[in-house]
Amino acid sequence: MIALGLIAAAWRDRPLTAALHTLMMAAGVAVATALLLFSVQSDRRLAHDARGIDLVIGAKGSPLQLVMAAVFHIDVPTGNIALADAQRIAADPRVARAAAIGLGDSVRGWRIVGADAAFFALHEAAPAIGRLPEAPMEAVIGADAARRLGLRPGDSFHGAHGLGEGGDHHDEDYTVVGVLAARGSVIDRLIVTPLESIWATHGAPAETAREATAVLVRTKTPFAAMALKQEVNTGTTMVAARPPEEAARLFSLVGAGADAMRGFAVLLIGLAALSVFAGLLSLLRERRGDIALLRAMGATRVTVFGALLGQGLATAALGAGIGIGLGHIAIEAFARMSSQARELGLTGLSAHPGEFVIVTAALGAGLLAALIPAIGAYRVDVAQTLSEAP
Amino acid sequence: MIAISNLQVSRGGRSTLDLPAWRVQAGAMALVTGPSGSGKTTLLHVLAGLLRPDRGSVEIDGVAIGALAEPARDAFRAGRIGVVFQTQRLMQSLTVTGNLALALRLARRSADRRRMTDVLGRLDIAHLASRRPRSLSVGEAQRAAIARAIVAGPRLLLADEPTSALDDAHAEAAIDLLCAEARACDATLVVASHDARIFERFDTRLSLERSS
Repeated sequence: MIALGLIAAAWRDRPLTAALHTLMMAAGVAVATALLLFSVQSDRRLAHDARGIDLVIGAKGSPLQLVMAAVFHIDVPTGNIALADAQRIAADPRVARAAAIGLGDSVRGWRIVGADAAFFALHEAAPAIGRLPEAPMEAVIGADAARRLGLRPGDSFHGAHGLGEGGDHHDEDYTVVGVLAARGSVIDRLIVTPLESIWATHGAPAETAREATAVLVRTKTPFAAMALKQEVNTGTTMVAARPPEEAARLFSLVGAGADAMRGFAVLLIGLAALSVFAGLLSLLRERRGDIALLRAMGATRVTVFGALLGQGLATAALGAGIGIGLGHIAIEAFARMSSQARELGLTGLSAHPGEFVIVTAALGAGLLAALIPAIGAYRVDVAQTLSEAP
Repeated sequence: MIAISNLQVSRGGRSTLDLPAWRVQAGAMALVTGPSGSGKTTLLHVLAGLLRPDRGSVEIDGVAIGALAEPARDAFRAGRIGVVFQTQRLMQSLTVTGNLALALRLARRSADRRRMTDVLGRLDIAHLASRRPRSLSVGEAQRAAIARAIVAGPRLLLADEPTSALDDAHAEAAIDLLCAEARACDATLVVASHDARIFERFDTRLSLERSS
């Protein structure tokens, strides 16, 4: 209790120093927290979205781009493939399920996907209200998209050309026939219509010239996925990619940046601890007389030790609390401002057990920083110090 | 009140105090004199339990303070002994009231605002209650330091050279205050000083020689 009062007094006495130390600690913890939330949430979202899809086959181009466009619905597609090629893959005996999809249109930034019933089976999606689309220009809306667009069965809407917001509008009307039950995956954010709708809105090509953007494939065995990938990549003009491999590649690409940020966070926390150490050490030097006086007034060694140690710990705890809050606010603000962040499923409103580790590290740094000054306070020679001029 | 026998204290291998016997009655006003280096401050530190004697016994109120473990000595000091130093030591990070409240809490007493106001009023510094020590004059700080030393109602009040930095009028006033406050809380007063101006104010005197 007495130590707590002394800590509060020390803070009131030097509010700027205390605020600076606390803010430095908060900055380090905030960067670490934001980084943790970003990597954990985007990792989980990507793994979840790609579940059940062993292989993606699309037009020649970057496999990473293909996966990002056709599975995660973040990037633009590499091009189109002939529907006949897609159907040939679907007919392969090693394929358990295949869904050809057509991309290219959107509604106020929410993507329209042309697909058949196999697509819903791959995503294990079923309507919560209404039914799945059966005829061209019918559409079923993912749970998130329906809520944000305010669309319900019976409503109609215009598709816009392009995947961003504000493309040219098509004249044709889509009719909403159902809303999908929330799956917690990418399908919650999609609008699904038969492939025929896509062909119809893009100039209805002849039956033989029909195209798709990609084929999503679930194979019977993991080995089949690898064999099929090999065959497609060497024997055709198409590209096959495995979502887990590409997701891993993506993380190794952003991994270098993440490592740098992690190093930065550690550096900030370390600097904060160092400044706490320097502050407490100079406090010990300047206020040696006060510590001796405290002892002369009857405070024990343990009390003065605790007062200094507690000061470091309290600075770290306050900084960590503020930092955790700032980290969550930063991620939430990012998610609200950027649609890419939203696609990655980022939210500042959920916590992760890893934050406990960050807080523990910050408290440990504060404790370590205060330890040497606290030992100095513990060992102050009271009689000697009181005999010296203050 | 104080009973010392065969006391020997050495610091850094040198004997700094050698006192065969000394007794002070409860409620007495005692003066310890001697040239600098004769061990006046050492004696006060031993009485305060800040230094442990190498030999001999020191009893205060029947308690052999030299034989207590350090935490027990700390608690004894907090509850029963008030110390006024040569330079007016106060906690710099606390207000005058904060210093008094801290002394009360260390003595395991509640920080009773009325008691603090009473003490400050008696010392004529009630208006300085919320000031920081560094904004006080020397005389004001001395009064605040005395208030801090007596607020918890000590049985023994120790003062180390309380007048050395003061002119005649202020030295007189400081001794008046110490004696009055010691009497007011029924405490025994021990002052260590080489200030000849105040000698005749004390009934019990101890003269220390520089140890060889």
